Amino acid sequence: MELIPVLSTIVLIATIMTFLLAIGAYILYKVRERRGVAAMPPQPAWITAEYITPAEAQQTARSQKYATQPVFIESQPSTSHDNIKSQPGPYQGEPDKTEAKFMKYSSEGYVAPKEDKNSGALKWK
Amino acid sequence: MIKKQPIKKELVEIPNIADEKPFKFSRAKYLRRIFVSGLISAILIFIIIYTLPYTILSVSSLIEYALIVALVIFLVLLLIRYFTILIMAYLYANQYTFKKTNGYFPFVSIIVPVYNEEKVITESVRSLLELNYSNYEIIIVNDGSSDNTNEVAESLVGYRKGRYGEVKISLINKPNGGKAKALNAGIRFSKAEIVLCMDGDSQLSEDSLLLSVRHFANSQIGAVAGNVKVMNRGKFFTDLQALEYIEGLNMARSAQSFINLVNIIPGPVGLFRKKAVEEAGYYSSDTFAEDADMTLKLLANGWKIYYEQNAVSYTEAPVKLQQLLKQRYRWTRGILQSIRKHKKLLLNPTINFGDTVVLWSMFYEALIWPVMNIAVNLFFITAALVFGYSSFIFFWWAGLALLDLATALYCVASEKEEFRLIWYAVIYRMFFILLIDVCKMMSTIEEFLGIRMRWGKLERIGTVKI
Repeated sequence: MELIPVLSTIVLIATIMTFLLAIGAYILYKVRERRGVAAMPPQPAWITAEYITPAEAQQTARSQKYATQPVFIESQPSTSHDNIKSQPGPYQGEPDKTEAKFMKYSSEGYVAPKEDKNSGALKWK
Repeated sequence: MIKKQPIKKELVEIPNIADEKPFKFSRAKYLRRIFVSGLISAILIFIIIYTLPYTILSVSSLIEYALIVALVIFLVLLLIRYFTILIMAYLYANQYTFKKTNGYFPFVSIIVPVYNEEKVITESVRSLLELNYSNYEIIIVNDGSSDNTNEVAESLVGYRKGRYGEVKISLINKPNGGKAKALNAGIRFSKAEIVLCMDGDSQLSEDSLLLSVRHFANSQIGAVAGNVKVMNRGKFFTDLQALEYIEGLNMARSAQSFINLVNIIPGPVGLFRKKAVEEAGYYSSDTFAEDADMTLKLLANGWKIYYEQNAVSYTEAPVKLQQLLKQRYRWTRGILQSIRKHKKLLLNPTINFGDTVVLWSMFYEALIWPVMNIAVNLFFITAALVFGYSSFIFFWWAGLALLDLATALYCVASEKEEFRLIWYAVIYRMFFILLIDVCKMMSTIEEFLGIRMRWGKLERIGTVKI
């Protein structure tokens, strides 16, 4: 018995059934959706919301632990990280690529591939 | 058992940006669209019939040649698309360098919009408290839930124990207005430089925040997209979606990230520079894919968007076919609405060439690709049933299955995913993608006709923990 005609028939029937299933499910979905359609009420320009936060007493006690400034976990060699600030600067446009045509993007921003290879840090591919 | 802490409530007024145009049903508009489309089609058919006798072709040979040409074009596009994405995804993976963070830990607000998520909100917040990061807060935004979400969320408010100290959890209760407005409310209340927007039913992996925040050290980066994975696997449709997310969505994002032009930051995990969001005018409610719309607005303003593969968010995928179609229907219409909203950039590449490329690729994926896929399948079905060429469909399926298997193998290896998902690649294109593409085509027709749609709510089970 030839295998390809049998497989072809199976694939053909499966494809036709998929089409019918898709169309049938879609029609059923539209029928169900139509039952519960309600008009959206007009939305006001301002709305009142309830803002719930931890109570003041707790907040005062924990204010020292609650850091709003960036926290530096470890010190880094200054040569590698002079250009990294805790607050990113304004949008500068495209990076300067005059040194190398192809730059590699790493966690320190754009670096030349040669520089990155010599960094000694763990590489992940 | 979560211990309730003393809380403080205050009423605040927040702007409710009404940027959506009020829907006006217009029968005349529908009829005009149908009439114009029909007229153009009739003119084209008339031209073909009128000029055909002047050529050497007969009707049947014209159809044959047209079909062969269309098939060849489809095959070429299929291969170009696959290999472009694969190569760019590979280049993205190769540029990735894992290093310890450089001490850049800006304060981050995690915005969690919830609507009727009483079953899953606790687990979501629990996963956020286990984040491997020291400097963040959580703002839950309850978008007028009708179940017990408010009570559950209120019990979570306070200073909760995180990994490196205590994490402040706040709650905003607002009237129902949609996810976009809920996110906007949270972002407005945030005093952070970076905001992480997620879904109420998602759970983030431990290192997601740590690994995605470091990209913001580059001042050009306006947003970072995370990696969405299906949490509730083990069922037929959810396993297929798990493969789809790995192969179809995440691989494409890796490819786009190579050129820093990710086209959609997923709803379950996306980090934004607050300044960039403010410049973009916050989330808009005039589309059903606010994530796609926001991404396009950021790209239009010149921001770069990166994809962090290890910032993983686990989300609950639809289990039943009806729920899946509802989701994909919303996605397709939302994406088409977003593209339509930015059509100026689509038609004029001189404004922002990168954005034009992104928009055309979205247009292609949302509209052209599904139509081509359906047309090819119908062609082979007709060839089999009418002309007896049944083996064509088998060879077509075998070729695509092999291509999908190879791609699935690469993606599963790249993301260190479950090997068993690879076997779903055999039926992935001929069954699952065909189902989705039929839904996409119907959605496109409805969007073209301007038929009104509404949000709806996916049913959540909430039994899975990461």
